[in-house]
Amino acid sequence: MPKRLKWFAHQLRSMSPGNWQIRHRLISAGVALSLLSLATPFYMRTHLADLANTYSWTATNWEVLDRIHEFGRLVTDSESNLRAYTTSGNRAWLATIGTNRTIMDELLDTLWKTAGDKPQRAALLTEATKSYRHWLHDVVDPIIRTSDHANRFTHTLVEEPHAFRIHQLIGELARDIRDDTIVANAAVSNASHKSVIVVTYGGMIFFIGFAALMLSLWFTLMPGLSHLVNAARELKRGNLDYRVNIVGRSETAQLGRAFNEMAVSLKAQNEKLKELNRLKTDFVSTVSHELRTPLTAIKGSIGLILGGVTGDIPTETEEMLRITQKNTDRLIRLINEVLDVAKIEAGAIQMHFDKFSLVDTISHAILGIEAFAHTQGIKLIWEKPQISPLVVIDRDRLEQVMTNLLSNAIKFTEPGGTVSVNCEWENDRVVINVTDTGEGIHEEFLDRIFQKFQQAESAAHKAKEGTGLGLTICKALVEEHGGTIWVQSRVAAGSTFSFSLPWNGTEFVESKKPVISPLARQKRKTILIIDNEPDFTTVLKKLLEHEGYWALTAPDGKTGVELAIKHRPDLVLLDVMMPDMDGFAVRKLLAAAPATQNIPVVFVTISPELQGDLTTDIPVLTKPLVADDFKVWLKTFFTSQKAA
Amino acid sequence: MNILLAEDDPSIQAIAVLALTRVGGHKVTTVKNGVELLEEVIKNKPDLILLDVMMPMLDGFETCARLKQVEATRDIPVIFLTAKAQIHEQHHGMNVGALGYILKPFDPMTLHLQIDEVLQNHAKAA
Repeated sequence: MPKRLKWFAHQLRSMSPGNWQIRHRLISAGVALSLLSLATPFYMRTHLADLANTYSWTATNWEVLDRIHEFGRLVTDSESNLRAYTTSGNRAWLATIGTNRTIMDELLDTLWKTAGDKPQRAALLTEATKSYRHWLHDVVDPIIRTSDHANRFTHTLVEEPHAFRIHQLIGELARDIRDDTIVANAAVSNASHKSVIVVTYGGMIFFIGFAALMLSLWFTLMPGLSHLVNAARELKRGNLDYRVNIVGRSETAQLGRAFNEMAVSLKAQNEKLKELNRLKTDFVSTVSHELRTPLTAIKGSIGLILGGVTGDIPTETEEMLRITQKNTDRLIRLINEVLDVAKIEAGAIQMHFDKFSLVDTISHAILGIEAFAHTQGIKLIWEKPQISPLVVIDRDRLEQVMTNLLSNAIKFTEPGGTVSVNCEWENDRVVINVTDTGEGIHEEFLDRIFQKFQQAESAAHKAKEGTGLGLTICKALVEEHGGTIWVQSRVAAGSTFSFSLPWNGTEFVESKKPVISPLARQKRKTILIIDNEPDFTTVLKKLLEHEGYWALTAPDGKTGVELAIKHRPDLVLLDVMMPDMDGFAVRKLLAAAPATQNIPVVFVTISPELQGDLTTDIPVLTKPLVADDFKVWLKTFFTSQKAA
Repeated sequence: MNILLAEDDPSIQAIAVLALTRVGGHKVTTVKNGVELLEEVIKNKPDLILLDVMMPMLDGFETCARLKQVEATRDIPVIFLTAKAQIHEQHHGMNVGALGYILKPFDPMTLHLQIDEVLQNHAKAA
């Protein structure tokens, strides 16, 4: 069996009603409608031809009738003229009769040709022709003079009783033709009516066929498509186990089958990706852990050595160790940020949302960064509102965002500059702004500032040792909260980083005073030691750091003044006897500079005899310092400072 | 304060001991894993347990969970000292009964202050 024939047989077999596919329906409907379209013109052709003939015949009849009427008019004229002759003897009628006779001959010929096809009509015409010829044709000059009326003219036609027979004949002829025409008109009307019926019913059948086809397609396609739409939505929701229920072998069933195959494949690929993602997260977590362990040892060792726990170390060694410590911290930051970015990219970042006071959260972040701002010589201003919106946030993550933005602002602002924080709220969101008076950001860089590893190409920025991941993390974390982050900046005028968070617009709490931890409290105070005695400086520094203070050291007056201007310490412990520039000169310089004039200064001297020479308004401590007494003095000093 | 430290890495153990004794002024006893800790805690009766998470034999989470199941050790405060930095890991640590979390790498000069902070926060929360 030829291949195409086999296919056709298969199609026929498959065309049981349950398995009817869209193409079967279309083919069937197409064939039915085509047959209908073909049958209608065939039927109409015969019918319309009859109609055309009838119309033609009727038109001819009307023409014949016109001729008959013309013939009748001429006969009437001739009779009138004849009567005029018989009463007045006017012979002019003969000329008229002669002319009319010629015309009437022609008319009769025409009538014979066109209307003589029916026996009745032929008989009538024969009769009429005979009468006409007898009375108006054969009697050329029928005028007679009667015996009793000497001057009276007469004509036999007028005297004979059947003189008007010719009119009756013409009338009968015209009536016959008119009756035929009326019958023909009725036939035309009937044919037209039939045509209208054929066209109307044909159109209706066509319309019903078309509507049936459309309904059939609708009921065939819609349930299947509806299932497919539901299935696609389920897939979108992540339900990869959802399958389309397949019935029959229609196109929608085939589509459903293909859809199910796709869902199976998608699920397999999804499982694979999940597994890869898990492996990646595990890898990052493991690497992070494995890096942290040796870094803990490195950082810990350096910290203990620098902290003096293992004994004294030479100044150069200390300097090198500080460099190592600084870079270890940088490496730790980088690891933390890489871990965060890996989690963000893997979509594995986990948020722990709860209701928190926005203002308290910002306050807590500011508290943690205050010491850093202080050491960088930056004034940190927090425009803290009395009440706070209650927002749904992951507090740790939001503090991370704030710390990052604040840290950037502090790093990219010159000493003496300002970083200010404020928050505002609208109907359905809160906005937090971090504004600095730093160097600003070039416009062309603003578009990609939140992208990974993007840092402005400037020497000043390179010196800030950032990883280029901080703002990417901030953006991701803000977006995890359902908020947005943006930046406005002008070169040399500073920058404002802002982010918004959703808020229900109604819930407030009273802002609390931030709880300062022992760590934060002690870290906040920076003490500058200006002393040319390295041993004393080392011991004092260790003591201060042991107490949690941030201790800075300067070996001479000049360095001391520079550090004081840069870091703005909370206290300067100043040696009196120093080469090049003594304590008094340093004190004068500090008092003269606006940046340092309000920093409290305490003289620390080994020579009790010099005490008498010291200015009385400056406190004096005597070397050697007794550790416990000194700790008490420090606490008292800062307490009194706070009270003042 | 009498602190019991469980840490399998000898370097970190040594650093933590120095930081806690010399800088913080605490007394420290060390063990290398959770199993040793569960034995030592009965004898030692520490004021605080510092617990690494990734340890052989018995990890920190499981050790903490077991400590919290036994009446004699239930009330001893536990703080994790670990490089497990992921938030869900930290939350897991809190769920098994720890007071808090100190992440490695820690600053040895302020480790004692970080411990104070965790204890203070817990006392405030309680």
